[in-house]
Amino acid sequence: MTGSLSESLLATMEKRRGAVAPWLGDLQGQAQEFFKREGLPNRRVEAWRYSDLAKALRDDPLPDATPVFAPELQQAAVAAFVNGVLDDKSSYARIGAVNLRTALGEKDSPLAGVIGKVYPQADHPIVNLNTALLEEGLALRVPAGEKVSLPLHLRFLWTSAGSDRHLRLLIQLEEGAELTVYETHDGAPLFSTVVTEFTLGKGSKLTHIRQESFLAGARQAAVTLGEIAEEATYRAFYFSQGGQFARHEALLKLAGETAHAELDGAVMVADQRHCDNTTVIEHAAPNATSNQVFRSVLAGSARGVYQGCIKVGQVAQKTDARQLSRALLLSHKAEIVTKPELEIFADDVKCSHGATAGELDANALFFLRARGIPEAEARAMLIEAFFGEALDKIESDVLREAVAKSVNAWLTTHAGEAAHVE
Amino acid sequence: MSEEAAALQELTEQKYKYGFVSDIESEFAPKGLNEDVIRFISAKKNEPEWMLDYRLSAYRRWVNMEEPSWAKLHYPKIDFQDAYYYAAPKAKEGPHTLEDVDPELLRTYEKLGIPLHEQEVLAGVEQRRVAVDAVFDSVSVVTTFKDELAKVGVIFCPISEAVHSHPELVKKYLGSVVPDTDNFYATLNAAVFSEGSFVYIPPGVRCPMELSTYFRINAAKSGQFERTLIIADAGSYVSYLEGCTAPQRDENQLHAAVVELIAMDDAEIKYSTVQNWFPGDENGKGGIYNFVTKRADCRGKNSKVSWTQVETGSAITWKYPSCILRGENSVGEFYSIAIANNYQQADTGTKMIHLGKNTSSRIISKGISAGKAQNTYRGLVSINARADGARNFTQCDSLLIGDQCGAHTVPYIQSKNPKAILEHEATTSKISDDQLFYCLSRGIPTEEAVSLIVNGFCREVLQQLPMEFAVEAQKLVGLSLEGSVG
Repeated sequence: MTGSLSESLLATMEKRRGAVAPWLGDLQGQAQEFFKREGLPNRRVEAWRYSDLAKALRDDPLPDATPVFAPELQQAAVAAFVNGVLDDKSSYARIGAVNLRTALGEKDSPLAGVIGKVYPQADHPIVNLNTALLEEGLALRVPAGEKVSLPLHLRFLWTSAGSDRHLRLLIQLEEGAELTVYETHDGAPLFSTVVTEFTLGKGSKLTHIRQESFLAGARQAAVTLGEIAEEATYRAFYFSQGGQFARHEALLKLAGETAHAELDGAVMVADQRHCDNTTVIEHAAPNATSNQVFRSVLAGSARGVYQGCIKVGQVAQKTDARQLSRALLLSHKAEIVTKPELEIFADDVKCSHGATAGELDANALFFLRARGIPEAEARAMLIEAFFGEALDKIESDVLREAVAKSVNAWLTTHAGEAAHVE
Repeated sequence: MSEEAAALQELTEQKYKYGFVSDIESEFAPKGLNEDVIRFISAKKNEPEWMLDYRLSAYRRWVNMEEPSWAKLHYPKIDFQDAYYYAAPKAKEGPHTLEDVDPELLRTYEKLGIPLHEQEVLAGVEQRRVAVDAVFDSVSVVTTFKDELAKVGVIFCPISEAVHSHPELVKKYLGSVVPDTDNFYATLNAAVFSEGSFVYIPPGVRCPMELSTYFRINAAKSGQFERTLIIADAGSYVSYLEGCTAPQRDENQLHAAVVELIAMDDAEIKYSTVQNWFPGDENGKGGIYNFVTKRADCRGKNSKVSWTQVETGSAITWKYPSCILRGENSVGEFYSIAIANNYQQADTGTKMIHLGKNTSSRIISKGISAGKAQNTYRGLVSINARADGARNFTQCDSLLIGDQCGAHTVPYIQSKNPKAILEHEATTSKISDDQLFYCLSRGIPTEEAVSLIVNGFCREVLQQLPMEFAVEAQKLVGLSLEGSVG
């Protein structure tokens, strides 16, 4: 099956090479070569050991309900991708964003120096696959000093099964610029990849809220590539409830002094879903800081994966990097896999990682029960509180509420599972 | 250069003091590896047919296996045909008593500081006694205290002897923890292993003394492939220590050992290693390639296995002493100090596989990197869906001395059980200026302060070693960091 899928993907790559813009042909050709050589990532590849994409694509899609879409953000610039195609009627142009397809097609496209150039990953299977199959996307450059007040709402809607699209987003923040990006993913793509490349200029700030509320049959591999210059900040919140295959990778390079990356993750998976959060943060300059906290709740026979790697280069003295993964298991069939990795070549650094897995704190539960709160309710409260700390870090009230709504909706749907351990 | 830097440099540039070569006539198997060499080894050992079959089937499997490449280790491809797989000190007749042993060999052990003589237990002086099995290249030279151990039913002998004297035990347990299909190096070991210790502790017996094996690779271009098998029957206890050294040579030598531990109901095994193979010189030339598979199977209820290792030698270390916690309430422990200096590379850690209910494990790993060394902790904690009430605590700390080295941590943490609690923490830091200043301001010289801090960093692990060897290990890591980071 994979054989034929790989073959059909290769045939599509052949067709798409240079189709959007002839000058992209070489880049796409290299990516295609990589795919030809390595194929789809599978569990024999170390980084994909717990997330076997080839198998997920081979398996029959899980049955799905009708999708519910996250409401469009009011007072925002919206870019809606309906089944992977950018809806040109949406309001993204309000903040100067452009259709990637158009921008790439321009003569001497200014994007030539950006696409595939942000924290390049020559050996990344998804980035290569996405490059080779690239058709749709969005590009945005925020000029120096501009603080964009409207958030950019990237709305990915998969209304019909059978959609198969590969999207590319390019975001550049020049010196001192500020932007908030709110990403929602709903429905069930048959197989989609989304690769986001962003560069943050000196002192700029990007806030990135990612909300994945896929249906059970969704299969998506997303990669966010970022280069963060001196004094710049990347602040992210990733919410995901998984899918048949849902993986998001944040590959970030702290390229300048005192650059900062702050990542919070909330994972809530149930049934037979899979959710993978993979992060690689490379400290490539002195005095940069990074902090990651990923929280997961797993019910049913779900599998949650968190792989986090902190790389500290020899020049990156005085690095302060922290990483924490906390998981709550609600069922004997659920599984959490954590791989917090440190790779350190500089001696004057403070790096730490921690990981815990277990059930709700018995003392906290007893405290609530002793005050007359029924067990089910007490457990729900504790799970809510477990994520509350992370949610509090979202600065915008509107966005915090939007994510909190997803958290609460999940808790309501899975109240039975949360109420006791199976 | 500041005083601190100078002190550090001095500490890290210690020469390897076990680098002498003993001039002993050796008997070699033909160079390279093929079925004939395996038959040669088997014949040398006078082995029964089933043992030869075991070796040959492992060899045939090995030929089609690939070397693992996932570890953070970089070394030129090993030519497995360019080594001797069997080297024995030439003996006219196998040595029966210490008097028969080549005096040169005895001097070698003297240099190593290994008490081979039973009379070491001086009359009137209450001294704890240690039974030693000394292995020189591929042959066990002498095993002390055998008779006394036999009185309580403890079997402690070279494995080649056990094949003859206790074939039923060897047949039953050999390869039952580390099957010959396990991995590239374990399979290679199954094909060519020539020596090692065999220990059997009968039910209810607390082994009256520490058991110990000293391994030494002496002959040039030879590899050492020992196999250790320890069985602690119900309710028994044993503490076992392994020490290793090798001469200083400028080519790389291969060491691929397999250690299997089996603990039955209520049994406890404490396995300590002070590994001080030649690490190569300060330019990274020479040194031992150490690829070791060590695994314990806690088969019985309430059984316990504790691994303690002090890894200071080897150019390449690839070693993951593991515990399969099968029995209910069984306990696995892993205490490790890994010191890598100059061009040494260490990729070491543990696996704790929780299968039984209420099993618990504790991992304390201390990695120290200096010079241009790379030190990686790689570990797995896996909790099975049936392991209700399982508990794991992991702590891995790394210390970096100098800015040319690397410290890496690659833990895998998998849980399938909501009733299990796992905690993992890791930190990386350098010797803190505050701590150093604190010591200096109290009149402690820099050199002493550094070793004090390093010793404090390792204390939790050093405490786990049996008393006799804690002193040795402390000498290695401790005050002068003698031989440890050099």
